[in-house]
Amino acid sequence: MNIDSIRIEFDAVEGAIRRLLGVIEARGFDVKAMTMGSDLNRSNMTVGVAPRDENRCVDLLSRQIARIEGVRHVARVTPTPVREVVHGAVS
Amino acid sequence: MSAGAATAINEQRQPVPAERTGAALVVETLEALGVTHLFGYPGGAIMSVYDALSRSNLKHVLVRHEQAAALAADAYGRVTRRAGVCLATSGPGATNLVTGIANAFMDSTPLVAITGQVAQSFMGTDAFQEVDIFGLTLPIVKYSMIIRDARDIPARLAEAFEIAESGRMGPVLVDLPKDVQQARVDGYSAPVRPQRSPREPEAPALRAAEALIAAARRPLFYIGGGVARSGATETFRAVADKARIPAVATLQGLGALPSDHPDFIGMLGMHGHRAANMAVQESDLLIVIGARFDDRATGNLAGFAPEAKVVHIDPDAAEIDKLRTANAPVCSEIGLALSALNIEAGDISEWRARVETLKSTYAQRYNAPGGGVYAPALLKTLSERAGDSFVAACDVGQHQMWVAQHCRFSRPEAHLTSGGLGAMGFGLPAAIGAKLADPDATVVAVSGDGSFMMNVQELATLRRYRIPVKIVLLDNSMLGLVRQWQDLFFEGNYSEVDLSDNPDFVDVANAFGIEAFAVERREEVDSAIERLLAADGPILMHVRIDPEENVWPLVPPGKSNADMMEKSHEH
Repeated sequence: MNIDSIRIEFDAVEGAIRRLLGVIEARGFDVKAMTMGSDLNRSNMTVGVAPRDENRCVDLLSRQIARIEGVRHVARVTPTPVREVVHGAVS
Repeated sequence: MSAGAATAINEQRQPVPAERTGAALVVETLEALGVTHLFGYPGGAIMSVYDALSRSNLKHVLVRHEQAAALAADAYGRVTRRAGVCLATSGPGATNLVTGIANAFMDSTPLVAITGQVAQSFMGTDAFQEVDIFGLTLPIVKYSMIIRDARDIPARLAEAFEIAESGRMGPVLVDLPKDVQQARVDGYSAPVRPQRSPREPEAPALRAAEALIAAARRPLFYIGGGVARSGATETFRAVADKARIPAVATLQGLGALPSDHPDFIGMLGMHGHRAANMAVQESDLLIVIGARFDDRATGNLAGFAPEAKVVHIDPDAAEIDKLRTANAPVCSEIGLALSALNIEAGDISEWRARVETLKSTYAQRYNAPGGGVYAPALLKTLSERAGDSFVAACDVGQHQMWVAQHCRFSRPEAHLTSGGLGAMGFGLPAAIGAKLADPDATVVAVSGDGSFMMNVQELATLRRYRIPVKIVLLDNSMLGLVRQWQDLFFEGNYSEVDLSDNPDFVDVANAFGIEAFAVERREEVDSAIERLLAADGPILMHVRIDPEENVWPLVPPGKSNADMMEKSHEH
């Protein structure tokens, strides 16, 4: 599975997280990992995303995220290793 | 209440009391932001705003269904390029706005939708008429907000209008909890709109575009709705008149060049003009302005304009390279880009001659056999007789495509159509919004019998305010476009498209107090158009058309625009 990581800085306002994750899913990507932090007015999120089909382009997704009101910066970052957990598997 | 009393409803105002509620602040702020008209429907969670509204100078248009409020406000925004405003209560009032909000989102029109909400202490408790309209509309708004403190009302409403009207326009939802509307606020500070700088083109991008244009032998303007939305129509026309490059338009781009402009070929796409689609296929450079390569315009992308490089001018970076890679992307406000771009085509005389051949070879024909009304001819004549003041507010279906194919448009605002969403029921509310936005226009709602029934209740709004909208109802007693597709692609299995039990539409209109008459024969059309255009008040012309009539040409789903089907394909 090809997972890309996107770092997003955005205004910490009501609905911002739902809006961001909604765009990612609606544009054809699964959210595979997520870390987030906030200070008073600003939040940042790093999301691991996987395209649902080969026609989905993460650069285009980044631009679609960047145009969301309140998003301050979007960048692709070095992928964080994501461990896939098979349902029921115990390690 | 009589219609006369209703018309006067906004004329007897009382002074605003010194002590302000949040609701009064909403109304004062809207006035300060230059709003003159609102379209809405009251209910429990928005009553405080309606109470304040009765003391304001705002003209509220009481529709009969909230969807119509949103669609009318959408059209108002298309015509004025200022955000149309709609207002509804919480719960079902808010959910009824959803189709109109989605429509504005898909067609990038400026809209501010204000919804009442249950009090904050009740939010999240499944209270009566509580719906998370903020969450529900997240995918279909440019932005949305819940105002949680009445003191924030001026600034947040100013922000809402600025977002709706700037850059790539779109809808903004403002949710107003009841307690915020009722809260007492000391003083009033006028709203200050945050000013956003328009995106300017970068010089290297402009030079790259100019080089491609200069080198092209078969260049073509590909005009989208963004040209008009961004207020760049005149700038584009000046550029086009100087460059003399042939042009095609999307459904939303129609009117950016007048229909009879010598360089205009026609609409491209699924029901586009054959000459336009062929020109696109033969072009070696598409200069795409404010368009997004919608699938209805391109057909199968793999086979679309196979020989063409692309200059793509658009203020939205997310549209560049989304569906077709741009060789020269120019991400900028369209007017600024066109002003800065030096469009000098090389010798394209052969190409211009080829385009002229295509236009004459595939010119529209209006010599349909039989004595019944031929809708394309009627629409063409109507738009020509109405002249430059003609505005068509279309519903969705076959009639919508005939309007796009055959009407004469002098300006983009003359063609109001639900393009991206394709929302049946758009036509009549849109005509109401357009007529209030441009009282001098000859606004014609062109509808079909399927679409018309989706917002038929707005005849009451026409009557209430005596809005002189003209309605042309093309009745084939069918869901015509669905029937056409079932005919062509489902082996003639007509499933649930028969509407032959429609009511008598003349009787329906009369019951609402609207003048109406019927047309059944071709020889009646001339005098019918004359009567329609001469009417001082709202009027409905019910036109019987052949249920078997199809829209031609047609690019079958999944096919390239080169594979257009013509009338000869009919069974």
